[in-house]
Amino acid sequence: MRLAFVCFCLCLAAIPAAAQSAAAQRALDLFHRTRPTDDDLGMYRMDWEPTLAKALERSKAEQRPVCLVIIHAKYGDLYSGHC
Amino acid sequence: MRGSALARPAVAGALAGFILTAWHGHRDDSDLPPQVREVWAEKFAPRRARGGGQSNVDVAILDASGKVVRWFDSLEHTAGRMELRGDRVEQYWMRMLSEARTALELPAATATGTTVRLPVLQQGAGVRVFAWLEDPGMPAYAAPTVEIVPTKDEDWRVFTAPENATKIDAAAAMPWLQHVYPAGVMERTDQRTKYPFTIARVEGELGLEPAGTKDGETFALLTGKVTLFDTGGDGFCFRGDLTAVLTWRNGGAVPASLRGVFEGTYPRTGPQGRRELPMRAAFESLAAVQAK
Repeated sequence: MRLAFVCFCLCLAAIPAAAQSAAAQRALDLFHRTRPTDDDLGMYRMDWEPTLAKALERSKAEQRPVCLVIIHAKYGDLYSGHC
Repeated sequence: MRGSALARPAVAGALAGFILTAWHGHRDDSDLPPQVREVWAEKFAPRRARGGGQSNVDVAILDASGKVVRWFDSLEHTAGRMELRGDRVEQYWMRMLSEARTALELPAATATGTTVRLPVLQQGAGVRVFAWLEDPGMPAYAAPTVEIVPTKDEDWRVFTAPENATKIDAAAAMPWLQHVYPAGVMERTDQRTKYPFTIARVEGELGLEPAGTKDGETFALLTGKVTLFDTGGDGFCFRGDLTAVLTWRNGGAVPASLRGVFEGTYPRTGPQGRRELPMRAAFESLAAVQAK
């Protein structure tokens, strides 16, 4: 009886910690549901080089062609998307 | 383009073997690369008249010596209009890239793009921020921006593992929250410089509360409402809820990881009046690819 009572008290003490972890788990679940999937990030399936100069350098060294996207605009960062 | 042609697996497959890059600027820039000069000399030639005009984005295919092999407008123009439908854009790009591969004497593309390789940090630690706007009238905004934010230990000074629930000024999250804004929203662009307004400041109060321990890791929940003001100087702002989990390992002062979400709305005013559109972001901490 005494042992059962002690075990019961230990279980009660454990409950608050489990509830806090559940809140963190819900937040992590929300992150995993919200984070873009590979289907949303399709343009990163390709071999990107952020600058033309570096792309030309690699192109020559690796003997590979370049696909250059030319944007007629004052500002634009196609790689990050803030353009 | 990030959400249309470049997002299509077939296009990624057609670009297998290519190095992709981008350049932006104006015709009167003093440092035009020769490849851009060559394309624009033809694009803007007075005699060049194409039905439906032309877009402001072109694609140049260069061989391994940097020579322009061929180029095309990123959007097809037919019967006086630009073709914007996703499947038609893909067909057009596949046709153009097939011609480019032939010109380069490359075999026909057979694969579709495979692994996604996101921007990473080359050294140090930081946060990767995804942000996107859900505007039904502009599907392009739904393609997430991806920013890599290097951080220093001092950026996390305020974020210590709490013993009890505590409050933190949302401004402490500015290093990574400042990248939460949509791409290419024309009405939030400085009309003089043509640069988009960025995030000037973040306001709000965040709660940081203990959220248990597991396998030597200490968890805390970071939540609260934040308001983001841009650099437009007219008081424009948008709001949302931040929900994030921070962890610390072995009693470290600096968080070992961050995983979080911003769920808010972004106001836009147009012919339909003022609309509050869903604005979303996700945050994930990063360690360097290679330790230095």
